[in-house]
Amino acid sequence: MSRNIGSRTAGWVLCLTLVFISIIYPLTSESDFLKIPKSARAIGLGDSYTSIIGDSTAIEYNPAAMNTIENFALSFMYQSWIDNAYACYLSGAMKIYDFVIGTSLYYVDYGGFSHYDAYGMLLSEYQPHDICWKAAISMDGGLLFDFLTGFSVGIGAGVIGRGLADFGTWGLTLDLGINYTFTLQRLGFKYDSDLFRMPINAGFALQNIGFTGDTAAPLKGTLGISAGLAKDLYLSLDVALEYGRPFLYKMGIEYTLFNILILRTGFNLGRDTGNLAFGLGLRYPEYFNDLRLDYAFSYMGALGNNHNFSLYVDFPVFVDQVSQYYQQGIYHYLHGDYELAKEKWLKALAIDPENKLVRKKLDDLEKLMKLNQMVDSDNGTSQ
Amino acid sequence: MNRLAATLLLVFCACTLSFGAPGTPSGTVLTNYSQLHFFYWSTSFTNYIMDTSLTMGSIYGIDGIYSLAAYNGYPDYSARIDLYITNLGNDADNDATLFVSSFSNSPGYPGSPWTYHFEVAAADVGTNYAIPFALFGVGAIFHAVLVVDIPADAPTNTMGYFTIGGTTLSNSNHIAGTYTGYNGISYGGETHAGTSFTVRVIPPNQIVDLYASDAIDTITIFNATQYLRKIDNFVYAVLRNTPVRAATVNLWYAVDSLPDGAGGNPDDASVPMAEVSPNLYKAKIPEDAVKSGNYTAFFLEIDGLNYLTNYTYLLKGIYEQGYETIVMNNIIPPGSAYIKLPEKTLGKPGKITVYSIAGDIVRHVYEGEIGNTVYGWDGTDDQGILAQTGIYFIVVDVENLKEVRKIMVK
Repeated sequence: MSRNIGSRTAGWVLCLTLVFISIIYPLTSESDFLKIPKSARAIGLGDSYTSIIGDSTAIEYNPAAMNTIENFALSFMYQSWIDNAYACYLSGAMKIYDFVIGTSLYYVDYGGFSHYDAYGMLLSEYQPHDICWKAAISMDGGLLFDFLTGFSVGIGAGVIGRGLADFGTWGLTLDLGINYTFTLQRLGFKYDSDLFRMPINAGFALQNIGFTGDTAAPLKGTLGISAGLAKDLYLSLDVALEYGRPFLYKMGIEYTLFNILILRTGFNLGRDTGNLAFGLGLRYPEYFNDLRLDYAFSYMGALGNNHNFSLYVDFPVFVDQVSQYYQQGIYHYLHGDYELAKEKWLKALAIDPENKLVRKKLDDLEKLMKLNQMVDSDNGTSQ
Repeated sequence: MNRLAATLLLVFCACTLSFGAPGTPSGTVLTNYSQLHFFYWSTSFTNYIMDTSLTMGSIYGIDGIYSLAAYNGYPDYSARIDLYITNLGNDADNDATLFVSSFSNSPGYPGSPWTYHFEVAAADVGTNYAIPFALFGVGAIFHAVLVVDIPADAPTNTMGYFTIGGTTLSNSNHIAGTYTGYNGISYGGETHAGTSFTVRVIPPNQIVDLYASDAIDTITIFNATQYLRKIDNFVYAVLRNTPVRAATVNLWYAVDSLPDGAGGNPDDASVPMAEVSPNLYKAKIPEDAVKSGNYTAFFLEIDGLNYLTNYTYLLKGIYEQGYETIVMNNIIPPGSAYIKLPEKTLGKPGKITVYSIAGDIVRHVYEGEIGNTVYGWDGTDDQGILAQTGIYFIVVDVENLKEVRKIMVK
């Protein structure tokens, strides 16, 4: 029954998406700045980032893709944009219990604006800027619906503030995403080949549902897929549809040399500018859990060249060991792996024997396991 | 229960951030210190215009008396009023006569008496055109002129009220009457008719407008703003009182460092104005003659007579925007944003395009050979829809110039 309801819901979401996207919008919106890429790695991959997992920047591309973050991930970017405009981006995501919660702050500065009158005389100077703060959460879809088990789902919300001349506007947006990691073998192709055992990530995101000022936010739907084709070689593909624009086809390739130097290139078809990008990355896995410096360059024709610098850090979990074991036990408990849950909680209790919460969970689990044993034995007798 | 009902509550921090930009618009410095009455005159010359047309009812043998246009009489104080009579008479040698049946001036008119007389202008059929009688054949058009001489001491707005009469008779001395011609058409009607009109005295060479342009034909600088731009100071004067046009018009400009003329000997100079279209005269102030920061007064010398304007203008250079492409009115609406490209781009192929902050093309403004003009963007996208509030980048992509300027749509 719940599977039917879920299918129906998915159908409605798909229909609404198509309706939204097919409406003829103006070519511009008040929050077009949301369309600017927010990661040097993403730019280097041609902005095909919808299915890239384990990166806090996923808040901006597909909140569901945050779900594989195991620790605390932080990402910062500085970007020189058109003319003397620039942007800064900071995001962080952390695994808490069964969820990954993330937040981001994006600031676009237009590099000052001089107001000239009809004769070219300076009247005033302004500092126009745009800000977007987002919060997102992702989890395994099985926590919501059975049929989504194994899928990561995510939702994000953003608050937009704009300061232009002597006036400003504000807005709200909502992002939805889903992500799925699979192998061809898992899909039923039983060939004994590395290719069929290769993990593949697929994601879909519906972004910028909302408004800014008097206008709709730049609604966008993106379908992406990415996979490690070979050792150190990574490929990602996106197909996106933005309001008022033709289909965008994006592709990126990433190759890691000597486990430290990362080379990237990407292109997108359908955009007016920035169709070709190149990127470099340096990995320092010996620091923290992972540390990466990225740079990307994209050619924007008459608008000039675009330079982007990013820093990505994956920190060890900041929670204490007891909490970590407790959360892991909760995870196994919810998935019906009671023995594993018991093992985690016993470890937690060994560290902190006075922890009443863990002890209570253990007691409850013991009772449940006994009950299950009784039910199982009854079933065996009746058979 | 192995399912957790997840309730997602995302608190939107809708705190109203202050997005206002620092500072307030400083406003334009107004430098016109003069009183705002339009013009005064250094001459007592007057001019005349007859602002009514002449029509008469059809009279026997005459198809009315009519006028084609208004008349001006500058600068010789003579208004020449054209009158036309067509002969539809029943006789090949009809006579017609025109006469002023009454004339008067405004009550209490203090000037010298007006005089007037008829003159023959032309007739295409007939032989005897002596005034007041005209002997002309059937179908002929007789063209007479009423010349009104207005004395120099006639004050402006003085009126001259005329009534014109016309009669016809046959030189065969038969009484004019209704007549059916050989072709069966009935002719005839009244044997006389009349019409009235007024001649009004108005100031001569009235300066309708005076403005400067830097290839921005739609922007009037003089009447709206109190400064000129430093480069390409073309000054235009629009005069009234044509078709009797002024033979020579010179633009005089007196340059001083102080607005009240107390800054020393003003550097007066003049340039001839060329008539570029009816009533429109144009001159260019040499760039080395006027400097940014100088106060400049203008007057017009028309056929040797000076007509002052009481405007004084502070000449300013174009603001050093730090770019070769000059941007004007770059917060829209209202109006359009304009850009002016440097001289080095003239004749070069290029394009001007508007992009959004996301790098998407919003409007193709121009593509082709760059001309000596100002290019404007009215704020609409390629679909004709007004772009949404935000900053847009207008990109100049010419062979020898690539620049990006910002436009704000509010």
